[in-house]
Amino acid sequence: MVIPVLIGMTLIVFFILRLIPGNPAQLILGQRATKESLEALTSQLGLDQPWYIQYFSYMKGLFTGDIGTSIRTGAPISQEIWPFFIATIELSVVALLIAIVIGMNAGVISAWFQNSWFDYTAMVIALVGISMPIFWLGLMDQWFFSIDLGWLPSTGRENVRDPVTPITNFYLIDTLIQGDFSQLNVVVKHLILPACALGTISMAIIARITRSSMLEVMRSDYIRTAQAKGMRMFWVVYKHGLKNALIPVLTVIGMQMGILLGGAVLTETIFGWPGIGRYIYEAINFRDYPVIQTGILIVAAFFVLINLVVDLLYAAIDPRIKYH
Amino acid sequence: MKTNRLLFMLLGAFLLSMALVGCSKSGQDDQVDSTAKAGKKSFVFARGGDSVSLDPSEVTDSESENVSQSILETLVTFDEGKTTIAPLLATEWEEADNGLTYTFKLREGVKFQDGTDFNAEAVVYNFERWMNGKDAAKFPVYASAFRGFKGDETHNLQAVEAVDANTVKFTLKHVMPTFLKTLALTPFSISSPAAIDKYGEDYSGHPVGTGPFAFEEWKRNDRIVLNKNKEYWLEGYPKLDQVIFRTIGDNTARLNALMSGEIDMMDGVDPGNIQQIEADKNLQILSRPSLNIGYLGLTVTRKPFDNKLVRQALNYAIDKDEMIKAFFGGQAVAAKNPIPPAVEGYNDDVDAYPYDVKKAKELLAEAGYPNGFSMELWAMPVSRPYMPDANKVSVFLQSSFAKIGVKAKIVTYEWATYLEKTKAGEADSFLLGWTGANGDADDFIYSLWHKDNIGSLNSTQYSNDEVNELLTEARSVTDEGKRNELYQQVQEIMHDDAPIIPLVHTTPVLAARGDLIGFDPHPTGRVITTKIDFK
Amino acid sequence: MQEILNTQQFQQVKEVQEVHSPWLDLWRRFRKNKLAVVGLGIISFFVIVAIIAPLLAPEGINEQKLADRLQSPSADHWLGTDDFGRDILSRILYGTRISLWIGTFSVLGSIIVGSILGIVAGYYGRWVDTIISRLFDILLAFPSILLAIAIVTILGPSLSNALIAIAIINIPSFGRLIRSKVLSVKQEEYIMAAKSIGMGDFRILFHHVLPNSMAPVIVQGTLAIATSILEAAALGFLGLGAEAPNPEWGKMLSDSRQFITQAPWTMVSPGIAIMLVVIGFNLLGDGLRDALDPRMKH
Repeated sequence: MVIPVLIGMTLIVFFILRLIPGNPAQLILGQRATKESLEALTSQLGLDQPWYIQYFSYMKGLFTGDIGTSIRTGAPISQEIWPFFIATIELSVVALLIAIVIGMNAGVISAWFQNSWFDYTAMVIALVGISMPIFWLGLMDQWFFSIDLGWLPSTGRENVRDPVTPITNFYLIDTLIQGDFSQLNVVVKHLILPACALGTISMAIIARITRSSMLEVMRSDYIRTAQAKGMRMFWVVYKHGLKNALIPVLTVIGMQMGILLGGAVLTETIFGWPGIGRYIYEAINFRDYPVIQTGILIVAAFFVLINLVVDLLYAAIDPRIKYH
Repeated sequence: MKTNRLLFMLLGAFLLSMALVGCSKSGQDDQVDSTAKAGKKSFVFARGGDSVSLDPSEVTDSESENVSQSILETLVTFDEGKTTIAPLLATEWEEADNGLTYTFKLREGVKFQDGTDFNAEAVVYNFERWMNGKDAAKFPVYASAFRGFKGDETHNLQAVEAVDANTVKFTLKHVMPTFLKTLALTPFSISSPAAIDKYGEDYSGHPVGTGPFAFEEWKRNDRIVLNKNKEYWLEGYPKLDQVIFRTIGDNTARLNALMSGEIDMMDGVDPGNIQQIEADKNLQILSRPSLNIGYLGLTVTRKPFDNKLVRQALNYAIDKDEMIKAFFGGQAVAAKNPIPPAVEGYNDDVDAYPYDVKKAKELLAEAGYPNGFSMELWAMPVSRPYMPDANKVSVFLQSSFAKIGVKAKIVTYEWATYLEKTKAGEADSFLLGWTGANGDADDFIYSLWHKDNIGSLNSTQYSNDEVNELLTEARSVTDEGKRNELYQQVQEIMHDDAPIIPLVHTTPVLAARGDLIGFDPHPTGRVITTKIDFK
Repeated sequence: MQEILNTQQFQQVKEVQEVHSPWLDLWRRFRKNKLAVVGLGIISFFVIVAIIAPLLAPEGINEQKLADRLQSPSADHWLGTDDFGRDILSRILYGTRISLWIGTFSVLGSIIVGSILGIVAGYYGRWVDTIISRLFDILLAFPSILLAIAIVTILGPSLSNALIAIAIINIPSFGRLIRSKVLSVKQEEYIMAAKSIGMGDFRILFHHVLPNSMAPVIVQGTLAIATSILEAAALGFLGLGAEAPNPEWGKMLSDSRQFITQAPWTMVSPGIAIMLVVIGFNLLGDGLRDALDPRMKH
């Protein structure tokens, strides 16, 4: 099922792109472009050919492992796209980890001490969290922590004057491999604000779903039995309770990862994060068709992959579920 | 048990991330490190968009050119702060045969960054590469400046020859008053022939020139890193060890980066921030002399703008000073002509349309629209030096027109679509502008208002026979005084015809850290890094 | 963004039991949920504000007074002024109309289109189902904000086009919901019975299938309004939503972004306004869900 979805996707993206008005040649050549140079560039880019020929040659490229060439920069996309993609993954993973750690614990404790002040506060915060425009939160964070207090850098993912030498392009891992802890510190500092902003919604959603899922489990018989047997409450909650409440939580986490990947555009814009969302957004503005096609395809493939992993995890957690 | 292991893995992930959050907290106290710890003097310039190519002969966009100017050099250049011609790779030159031949003496002892010699052969090699381009898409500026390529009927460059090792002679077919100014344009920068041969198609990613900085690394959409050219021919320069061009798409994000010391200089300052930057003692504002025009075009083929009185009426309806104060941060002068005052041939005798609502209403009534009319007002989706915030200007114009009963609906399209549609004459009225490349009046008026350019750059679709004749005549005259007179006449006529509402000549601003010195905010919008230093 | 989540949750939610006078019963259960009532209160407040905005607003939304640029909050201007000297309070009050309009109508649009596709897919099954379901899969695999951006780019940036884009990206979640409802209802005995007495497809759909799908659609619709408002604000912020000088909240944020240090009030109030409306819809949606799903009562 994965392959037809992805192929269908290339077709849809392709059609959407051809519907977008505006000739990329115009954007490449700018305001000073003359008619002749526009025509010449259009035909050089192959944009004057019928759509099915363009689509066919794109697909042929895909199957032979050629993911295309940016029409704006003329560089192969395979060379360009990787760092952006990894940058977004790194941001999303950190955002999600923050969301999971705080969100899940908040949810568990809220369920444990249902109707306590902690429960109320946590759930109000969670409600506010899912109701806030994240770009607004990002702006406010940026204003407060980096402009006003000067604690954290406001843009980018490294000190450009002293850049990280990329190995995997996951800068956290790269700096660790190189054993450069001052660089690691710089990288972490750059990550905090965007990751917190990006993770807020997920955190709130995870907290809410964990709480309601836990509440249900906590009422079940075997938890009562465990309690009655005199087990320490902490273990009852975290081991037995959480394990059984994990499935809906996992679903949400899987989905959030996909959403974070695609939804990072605004966060990346505000924090100047060189990620794939921003890369695709710029490509849309420049009508860089191959980059948009390939970029969206990669994000979508990743999304599909995550769903697959989540499905497999269900089966691992709950033997009753079988993956077909 | 399997599930237990999974749980422990998750727990491990929690702990790791906890540790990360924890260690980040502990590091929060020390200030963000702004200067390089390696002790290198590096300069970070941030702009809104990345370069398209590092071979300037291939491109027309200023983002690409601004980086190339540090790597490659032209034969001649512009004087500091002006558009008069100064020597660069050529030390002197001579015009002969009534302007049909030019002979350049080249600077001696200059080497390209790859160690090969710069000489007459290299210059000839570069020009031959361009004139044999045969592809307007490949060398667009060459094609438009010299009207095509070798073999084309219109091609204007007869020959480029090496007279001796350090002398080059250019022969033209027809007189070209803007020849020297053209050679000063960045697309005519001289590259190392050895590098062009070596990289072939990939040369645009590996530029090698004679400039003060050598290309090091290009991480697309993020940064371009240049290192000091230690063999640079100008004694004692450059002052910096490293120049980094960074792309930060968002204006406010860029300003934040400047305020927190992550970058040293930026362009594309939002007008609303100018005051704030001026008040900040750690920052400075640098403004370029104006070489541009921002205007509201009125498509003369569309009703009711086919009526001259309507066009004039709208001209009376705008309080430009108020607008400049509020939406250009004061960094502009009110315009009355289609060319800026710095350009030779500017007609200062033209009387600007004053802000006069009553007069505007009278004219509208005379034109047969006593109750006004409805129109579309197109606002550019992008920020340009001549119009940093088109969105706000359009809202201001809308309320100005409302006062004379003209109901304007603000419309916007994506940039490519916007340019295409305005060229096709589909807009009633549209915000647009122009930045002069070489500081010549021809570059403004002929490009934008000659009938030959209808369908291409003449978006107002304006055509006045008298203007057309005068402009064509000015192209064949080399006498400066005579040319200026012709352009002054054109401005008189255009003032009366009013195909546009000239709004502003902005002085495009850059913001930089306070201790930066040696930067020349050149009117052409170039970024010259040779003499930049920190106090 | 969480609409996908809600679909999933709903697929787990048990059938709603039809009791006599279901609406009254619903209201009784709803009323017990204090937070939900608060949510309803917030929304009612904003709806009233939207209706009587002209009466409440101290100034017109386009009254420019350049002399009063960027004034901080005062007795004259409770929320201060923006860089045109326009009263921010007035603009926020009028902006309520835009946000409610865009949220409600984009969701209505996606419900209508999603229902049609979902019913067709679920009822007719086979290859029709396959095609439509795959289409939903594809749309869901798209990064939704990028898809919205692409759609607005095609249609041209304007408020109504932003509405269309948001409606399109929400179609698959409603489509899937309806489809699964139709599939489960189709198996019910009374549908079989209706078929056997020769009832037409359309009558079966409208008399039996649709009413049975109403409850989850209402809940999810309410929650989707919340996300739609956020998405509209995001598009407005990117300059792809409302045209100037419309007082759309997202656009107000992006217009005053440059003044965040000089005039933070221009940034604070539109953000809070968005948040309040969205909280209202989220609370209401949660409350409706709890009321409709007896299992979730605590």
